[in-house]
Amino acid sequence: MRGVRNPFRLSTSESIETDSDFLRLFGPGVLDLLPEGATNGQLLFIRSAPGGGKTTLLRVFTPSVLLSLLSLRSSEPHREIYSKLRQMDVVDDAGLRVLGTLLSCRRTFPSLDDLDLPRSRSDRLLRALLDARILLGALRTALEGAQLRYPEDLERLTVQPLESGESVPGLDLPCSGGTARNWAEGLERMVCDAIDSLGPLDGLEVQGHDSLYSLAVLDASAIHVDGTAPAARWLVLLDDVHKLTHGQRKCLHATLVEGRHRTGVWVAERLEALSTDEVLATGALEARDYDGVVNLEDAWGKGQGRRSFSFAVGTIAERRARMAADVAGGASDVGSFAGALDPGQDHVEHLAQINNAIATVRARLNDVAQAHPRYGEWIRSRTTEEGTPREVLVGLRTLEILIERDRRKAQMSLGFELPAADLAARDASAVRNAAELFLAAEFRLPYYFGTECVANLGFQNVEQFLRLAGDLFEEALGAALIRRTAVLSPERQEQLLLQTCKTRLDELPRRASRDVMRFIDAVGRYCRYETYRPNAPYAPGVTGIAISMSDRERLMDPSFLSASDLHRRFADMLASALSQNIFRAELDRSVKGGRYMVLYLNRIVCLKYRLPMGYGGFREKSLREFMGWMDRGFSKKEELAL
Amino acid sequence: MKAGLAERLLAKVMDWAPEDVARERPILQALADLKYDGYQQYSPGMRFVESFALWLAQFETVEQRRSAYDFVRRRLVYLGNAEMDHFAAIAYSDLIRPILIDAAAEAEGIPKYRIRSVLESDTFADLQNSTLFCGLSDGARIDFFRRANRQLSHEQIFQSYDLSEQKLTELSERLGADGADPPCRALVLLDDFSASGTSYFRRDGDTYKGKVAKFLARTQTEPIWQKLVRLPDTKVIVAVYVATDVAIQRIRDGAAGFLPTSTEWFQVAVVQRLPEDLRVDRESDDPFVALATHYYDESVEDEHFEKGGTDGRFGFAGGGLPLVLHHNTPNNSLFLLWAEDGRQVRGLFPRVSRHRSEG
Repeated sequence: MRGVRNPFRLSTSESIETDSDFLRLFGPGVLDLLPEGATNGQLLFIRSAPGGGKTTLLRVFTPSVLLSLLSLRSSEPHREIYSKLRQMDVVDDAGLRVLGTLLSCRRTFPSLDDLDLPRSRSDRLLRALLDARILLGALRTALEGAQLRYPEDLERLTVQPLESGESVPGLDLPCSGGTARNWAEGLERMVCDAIDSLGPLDGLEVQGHDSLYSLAVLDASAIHVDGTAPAARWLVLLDDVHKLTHGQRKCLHATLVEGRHRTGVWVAERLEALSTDEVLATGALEARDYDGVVNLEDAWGKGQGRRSFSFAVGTIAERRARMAADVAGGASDVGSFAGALDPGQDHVEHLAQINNAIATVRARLNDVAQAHPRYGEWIRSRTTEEGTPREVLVGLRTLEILIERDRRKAQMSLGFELPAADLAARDASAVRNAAELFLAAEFRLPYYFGTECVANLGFQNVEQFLRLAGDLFEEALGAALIRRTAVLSPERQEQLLLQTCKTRLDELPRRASRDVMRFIDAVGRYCRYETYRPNAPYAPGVTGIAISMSDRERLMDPSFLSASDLHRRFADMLASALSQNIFRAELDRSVKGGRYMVLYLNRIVCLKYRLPMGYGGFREKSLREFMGWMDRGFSKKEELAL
Repeated sequence: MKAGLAERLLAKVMDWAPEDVARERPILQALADLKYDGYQQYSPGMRFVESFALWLAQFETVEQRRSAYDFVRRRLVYLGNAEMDHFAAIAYSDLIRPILIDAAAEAEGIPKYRIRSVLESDTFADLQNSTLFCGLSDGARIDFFRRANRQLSHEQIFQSYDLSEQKLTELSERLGADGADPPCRALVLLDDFSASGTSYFRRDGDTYKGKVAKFLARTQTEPIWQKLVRLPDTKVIVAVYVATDVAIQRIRDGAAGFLPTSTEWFQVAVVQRLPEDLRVDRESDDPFVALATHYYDESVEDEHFEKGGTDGRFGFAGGGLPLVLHHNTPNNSLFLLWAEDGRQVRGLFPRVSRHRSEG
């Protein structure tokens, strides 16, 4: 297989084969989302929609990656990663301080629940299987951390008796690594035999475990390599926990909480695994600090996080572009992602279009001046302002919006001309942003382009960003191949982004219900309606909706939902949309004296409805109205009524 | 040629804009990596994308090149090494064994669906153990077939049907030791590909030619074979990994003509059937048909080719297949796909002919 032409296509951690490639492509910004002391024996839930970067985050803490980092730490781009991990006390110059053992819950675990055993028995088997796999993983990890081979060097491992005096059923301590491996494999085999068995399970040999003994072993640092503990701390990284059944997740959660282990355990799962009330309980809360849960998209999405996400994915993009250039051996002219996107500041290539637009807007303003002399001075002052053609055009369109706003308020005016100073006072960047959006829609000027826009469209989901950036980069690579300019024009960027967003949205029905699809459409149409009102009342536009916190409480209340099918449907729909990252919730926002949950639309939906990329513009509605949208959509009749 | 240069050449030949390159290059690279670069008859250093670019360049207009490109992207069927290995691996378990199970069920008087009962019967064990498997050509992948079917003994699987007298004597003695008559209860002839079936059975006046016909005739006339095989009591299964519908029918017809007294003795088992609608129709208005008709080198028509009865534009015997096999493109495919090196027309997957020109 040849080198990777377009590293943006390596959208999952699993698709990156070598640890050195993984480190080259890893954006260390995600480490900042972890709470302080995260590797010091905490139980931490890491959640996100698919593609949020959970597995990538876990992989960083595995010994093969950390050892690779140690050997590369003095070179770019590894220096920054090393520095962050050193600060977290994960590595130091002497070696590994943390040994992370990664276990995917994808295989076998869910089949346990097909055995139709009583819950308590099924839970015991789940714990036994977890014990077997965690211990096997730990033995392998201990050897990897000491740069020894598995299984050849197992005899250099010992498992010491636990300080607490606790025993491990069926395993006499102390024992060699080989004995511990045989014990774990035997346990695993017995559970798997039970799963594979077609006969009755009454005589089932394995009784299961009532707690996680493997974690007790790690708590006691009982695994020794050549007589000493291989690192300061253990970290158990459980991935794909959403693959467990609901009952298994509950059991795992309870076992980990009750166990109060000193070993750090990170549980990575998709939001879709959460129940409706659990999902609705998620959401970024400005004031709230860490409480044992990191929702990756929420963490990126709140406050300064958005800027951090933009910076982090910018780093990821540049690293991937660099790798593509290295693969091409200098044959590619695309050594930078940002360099492949024309920032389009001056719209030079659209000069004729802009001049036509200026003429059109000026003519409209002249008509206004004749019909409404009150705006004469505003118009004269604005039409004589100097600037680039684009600045002039935006200034004129902004004036149109401001006049529209004034006309709606000033029904009883005396007809005096408004002073130019008044215009300057009303001119704000938000209105100018709205004017740019209006102009783009009216005169077909590109609006969605540039690195910042692509980062915004990523909507705090790394996979979504990579998909969009990958399509742009692919075309830049294509242009470079045929010796054309590898810098994509704003127009072309917008076309490609529209195509990719459409494809991604077209894929949604596979994951989302009809209710979700109808509701997204309704919200998109509603936001477009509000955004493009001539006076731009919520400039630069509306990109979200809001539900009162009390309504949210009702949607999380099982007894309330059991009394109303419609509310139940709406709650399920909303939870599904949140878990798929279609909406991002921000909780407890203050609006007109009330407290609200704001639901921002995924930015690729905003692109479809030609909405701005910014946050802050949202409209609150009653549950009744929203539930009507879920059933009937946002109708034209309703649009007219508004 | 470096991969990048070949891709640049392809883009130039196709007059591609950056968006075309962005759309097509990932697909072509994937196809090349996963399949087409594995074509075994490329000259040293040649890879698919370079061959593709040079092949397309021979067409005069960009429209013609687009038609040809489109044909390759949408209609070409390429069977790679992995696929052929897979066919060889499943031929016994998926096709031949069920035939033996049916035969054993009938002999035992057990319903065919009671698979477990049949498999546990001595009749099935005897039938399986007394079945001989012989390759009809090098392509039969007997080594792979053997490794994939560990329930069969190495003593019953042979590279070729041309067995030595000593081996045949040993087999007669071993299989006939318990008085079984005939000692060989089933004979499986394995091959990789058949497009027309003519190399298996070909009527020539009142007799049949072709390798299967000749071999079966030997089993009926040579005493050493007669001790081992007796038609129609010995079941004959021709198992082909890839075959067209026409070939399947021709083989069946040939067998029926060869031994008209019975129909039960002979079966054809095909792992991957190539349906009739895969063929490129000469009368089709597909623009590639016009190219296949126009870009042709008559010098390909030697005495072997004449047996096909038509010109070679659509391949031997007008086969019209859009098919490439990783070790060699069959001559029943379109000439434009397999034109050998040195012809006036360039082939995309040049064939190396078994029948070398002596001129």
